[in-house]
Amino acid sequence: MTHDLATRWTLRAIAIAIAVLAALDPAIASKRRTKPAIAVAAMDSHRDSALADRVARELGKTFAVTRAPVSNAEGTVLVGNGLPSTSDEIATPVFAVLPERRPAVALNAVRAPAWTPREARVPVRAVAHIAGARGRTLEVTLSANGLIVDRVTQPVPSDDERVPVSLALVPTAAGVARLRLSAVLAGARDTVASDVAVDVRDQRWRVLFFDPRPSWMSTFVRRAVERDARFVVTSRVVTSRNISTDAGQPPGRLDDLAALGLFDAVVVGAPETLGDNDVVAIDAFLRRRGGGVVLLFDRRAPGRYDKLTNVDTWVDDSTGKTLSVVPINGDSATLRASDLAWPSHLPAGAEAIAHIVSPASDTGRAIVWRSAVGAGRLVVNGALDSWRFRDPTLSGFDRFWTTTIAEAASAAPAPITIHLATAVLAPGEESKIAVSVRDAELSGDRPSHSSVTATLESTTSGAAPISVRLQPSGAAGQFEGAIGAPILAGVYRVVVSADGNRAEAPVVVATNAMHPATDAPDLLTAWVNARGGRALSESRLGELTAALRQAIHPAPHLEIWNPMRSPWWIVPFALALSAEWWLRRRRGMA
Amino acid sequence: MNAPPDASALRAFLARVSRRLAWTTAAEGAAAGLVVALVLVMAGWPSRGAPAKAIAAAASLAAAGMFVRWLFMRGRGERVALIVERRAPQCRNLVVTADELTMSNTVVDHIAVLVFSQTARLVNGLDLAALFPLRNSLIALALSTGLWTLAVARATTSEAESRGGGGGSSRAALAAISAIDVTVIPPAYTGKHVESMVDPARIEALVGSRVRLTVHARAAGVSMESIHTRDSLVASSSGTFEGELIADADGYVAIEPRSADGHAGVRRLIGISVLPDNAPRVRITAPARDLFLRDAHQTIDIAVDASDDLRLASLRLRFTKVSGSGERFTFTEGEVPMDIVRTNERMWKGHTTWRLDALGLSPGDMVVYRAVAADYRPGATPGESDSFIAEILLPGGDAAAGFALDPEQERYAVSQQMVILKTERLSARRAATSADAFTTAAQELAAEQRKVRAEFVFMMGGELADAPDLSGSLTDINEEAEAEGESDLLAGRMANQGRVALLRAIRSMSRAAASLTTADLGPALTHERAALAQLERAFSRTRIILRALTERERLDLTRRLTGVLTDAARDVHPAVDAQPSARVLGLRRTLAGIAALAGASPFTADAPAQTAALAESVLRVDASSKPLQDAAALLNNAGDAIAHGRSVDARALLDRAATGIAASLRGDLADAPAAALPADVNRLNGALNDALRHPRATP
Repeated sequence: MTHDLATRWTLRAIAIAIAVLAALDPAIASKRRTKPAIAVAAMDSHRDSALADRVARELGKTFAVTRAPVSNAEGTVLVGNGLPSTSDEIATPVFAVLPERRPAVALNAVRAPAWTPREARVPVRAVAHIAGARGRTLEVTLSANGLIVDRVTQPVPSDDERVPVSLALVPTAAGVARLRLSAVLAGARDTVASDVAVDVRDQRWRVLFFDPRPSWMSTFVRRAVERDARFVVTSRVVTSRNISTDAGQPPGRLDDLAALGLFDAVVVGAPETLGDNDVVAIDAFLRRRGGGVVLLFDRRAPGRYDKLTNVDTWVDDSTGKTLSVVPINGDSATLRASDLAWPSHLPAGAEAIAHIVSPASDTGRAIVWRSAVGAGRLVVNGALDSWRFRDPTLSGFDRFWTTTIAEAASAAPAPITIHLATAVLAPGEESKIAVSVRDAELSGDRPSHSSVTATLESTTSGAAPISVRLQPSGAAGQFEGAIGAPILAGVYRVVVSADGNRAEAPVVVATNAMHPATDAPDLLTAWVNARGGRALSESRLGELTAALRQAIHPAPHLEIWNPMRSPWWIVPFALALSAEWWLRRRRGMA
Repeated sequence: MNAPPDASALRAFLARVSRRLAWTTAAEGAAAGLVVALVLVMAGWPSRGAPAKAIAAAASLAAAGMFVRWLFMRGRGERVALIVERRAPQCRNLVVTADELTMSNTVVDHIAVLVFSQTARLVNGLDLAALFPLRNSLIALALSTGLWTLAVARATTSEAESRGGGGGSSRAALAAISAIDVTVIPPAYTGKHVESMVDPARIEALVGSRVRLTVHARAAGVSMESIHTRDSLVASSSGTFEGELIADADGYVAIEPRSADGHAGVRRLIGISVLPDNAPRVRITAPARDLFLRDAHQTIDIAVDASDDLRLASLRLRFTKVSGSGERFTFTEGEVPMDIVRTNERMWKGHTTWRLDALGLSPGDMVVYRAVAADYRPGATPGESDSFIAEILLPGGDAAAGFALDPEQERYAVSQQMVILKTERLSARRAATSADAFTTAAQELAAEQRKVRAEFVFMMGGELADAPDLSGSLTDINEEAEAEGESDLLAGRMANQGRVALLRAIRSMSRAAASLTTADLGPALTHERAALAQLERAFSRTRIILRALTERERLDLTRRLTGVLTDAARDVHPAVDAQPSARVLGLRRTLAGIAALAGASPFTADAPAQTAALAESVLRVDASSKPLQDAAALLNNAGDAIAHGRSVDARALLDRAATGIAASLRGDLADAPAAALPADVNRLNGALNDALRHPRATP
């Protein structure tokens, strides 16, 4: 056998061996140490992604970096100043890199009602946290479906400022209004924004005025409410035995709970004339309906109402001196009255709505106050003759009472209440949903039974509804679950049916959905410390690799290796066959 | 030597090549110029809607392109023969040689003839079209011309469409306004100049001004519409229409062109703000207080300031001299000359040193003076300053406050009832009183009676002439005085019966006073009681109530405390369902319209017409509201921006308009309450309260 022949046979054998081994695909088990997997996540994808990229590049030399929170990573690095919305996917230990933005603005605590009657303006409030921007001007805008509808500008007086901002939307039609609150510092390019969705409904609060005897106080409050398009007012004024003046179809008596349950709030004039049955009925309305009750006293007289108010002793002031009764919340709608009554000690758990400040002491006297009774709320008026000062130039009588009654009515729960953690979602994003079934929740009967179904339905496309799984959570009548935003952007509605009732809540799926970034570096530091890590500022990013190395201890793990699955085997295989063919051709062989 | 014939053939060939090259070069240059013109048209220059400019620009650029290309060719300095040789290598320098020989014959003739003949044969066989194809240059020229034409046509068409309201009809596009000249002619009395504007967004005019509109439009007719009226403009010449309106209230004028077949073009909206002509303001700056003087030999330095928003016409100091006492007051009107300094036509100052000697004032008399300023507005009420008094004090007396009864002297306040009481007491004391003392007391009572009478006389305006004759008929009323008081009667300030009763009372008081003066107490008491009865009738409660209530609200006495108890029943009304105001509805509709308009990307062709309609709807809600005027102007500007293709500007303007309208709306609506707490939290609060209040938690 010549040397040439031996070479050709060797080459042929190599090629055949590679082919045979590839067909057999042997598996080799070994214990190995690999690069630890680290998840890097930006808390605010808009503001923090650049820094998150830097962190990922920094860690990529030492670790296998994943740019999303994953539960099976060896550790997690959060980039930003805010807390994550969920801790489910976050692997411990958790480290945080706090950005050092100067100047910077963040919108925190963005608040808007989930729904509103069409005839109301929608307040959208937030706290703008501004850092390193003294002397600059902050501009906050509110846009509805892309059109700017309100704008606030104000100078920034210091380098660390928290500015409450309040803007308002005037709804133009019923339906979902997607609102975006945006803030920008003058001269800066970066804009922070947060999306909220408000369901504008052609729905009004149903209010019953019930006067066991004619009362000026109740009459003038009723007239103010009747002029407000947010309410539908039903009333009964009993003028004599078996004779009354009715508007709408009021219940004949207060102790008809089924009829009373149709109303969100009940306003009682001359409450000192209520009988025992009336008081029991009102108590049941408060506890089992969760409604609001307003007792409009126009004179001080003992009565059965004390069982509702729980006041031990009343104090009167009928000196005739006119005083201002100022709302606690700072609203400018003050009352004026010269005949006042207030509890000597506010009942436990009660809180003042409007008060007068006593000239003798610094403590205020609660003239109009509220108290929780069951799931409902009771409002008590002690400005007995405030109706005499109802002239708009003298007091804010109308606005005070429409606001107070609107709050009482809006707090009354609907038969089904849907609460979404986030109503504006990016495609694929998940949001928690909580559902309350009022009758099951407030009924004293136990055990209670409720059959609840929930679906996510598109309002724009004809796509089939997506079923949403709800599970009982805690108390009777309460359910919770999660909805995943569909891939297709658009407006959807969560539809919940229970015990013959139906409720809907809007969900807006948008590719550019923005969520409020809560700037809370202190909280975040404490949060990561509790998860075995620590927070580092952006300038100390170089220390992160060492800190992670110290915190994680990746154990060697058994790894199955299939060496023949590498595509590189094709190279020696082809080379061997080619060389063998070339040698044969050189020898003149076929 | 003459050039051989074949040389001429060569020259002719080269000339043909040269001409062909020139055409090719020109086509290439023109094509390049048109490409540049195309880019400029796409960039928006010249402005849309100016095709003539675009054509001129393109022609210039094409010419420039040809020139540049020619320069380039010339710069290369290449000979035609060389170019031919390069394109046709088979010539093997024969054409170049022959060309050179034509310029300088340096060889013997037979060689030249040979060269020329061979060259002639050679060039005869060459295909000029194949060697120098014009096709590509012509295609480039045609393509660039076509593209440029398309671009210009598109720009012109889109402009016409946007102005035509997106009707999609060429006829509608024909009706368009090119310019509006506005001439504001102020009322003649103002002396202000005529003001002219071109295409204003808003007109500010003094009330009563004439606003003349001259509309230049490509239309068969033009109409104008304001809040209350609609009118057609008169065609004064081809494409020019004129009309006029009077500026009497805030509002707008919408101008709409129409084509011959009735298609409407885009409306132009111009807001109108009417400035009021305020009355002159005048005040007495010195002494600017009431004066109480010891005697009438005094002088008063009086200074007056007057101003007007346009120009003052006059400034006067007027006085009323009040003399007399008791029931006899006389009033004399007069005027005090003043030196007037005119700072400018709007601000005057007056000054005078007023000598009271000339008035012949007696102790107790007074003068009431005030300044009066007038402007040139016909029929306008002059402005008056506060009135001040200068009173000559009675010896030992204090000044009375104006014309009110002297508060220090109780006698003025003695009522008729008290006069009767005192008369009855005097009558009862008559036996115990001396005759002189009785007479004196009766006369004192007569004086008191006169003072009570005087109070009522003042109440009726101080017209004593109306009751001159004590013996006259009680129903005889001075008809002239009654007619003068007709306006008061119509205004409800008097009731005829009450007035008659009051006159009767006054006359009874006069008779009572006369009887008391003669110490005749019996008739005096009769007249005093008659006066009282008349007073009671004049001021009866019924009369007061009837004067206070309108006919609609008059009490129906038949329904009060009458009827049968069993008829009493429940009074049922429908539930009260308040509706939002028309203002809220109107502005909300406009806001929704703006949102819909802004939501379209890109803007639709009828967007300019939509913005004009939205601006009009805003002004229809409240044309006098400044924020709404601003919002309408912003919408108009947004329409212009859309029409000129400035989408970014248009969106910013729409945002600002929406913000302004929303701000106006917010004041009409109440806040929605903050999100309610979940029911379980409320229940927990309630349970906590129950636990704290145990055992009295539930009734």
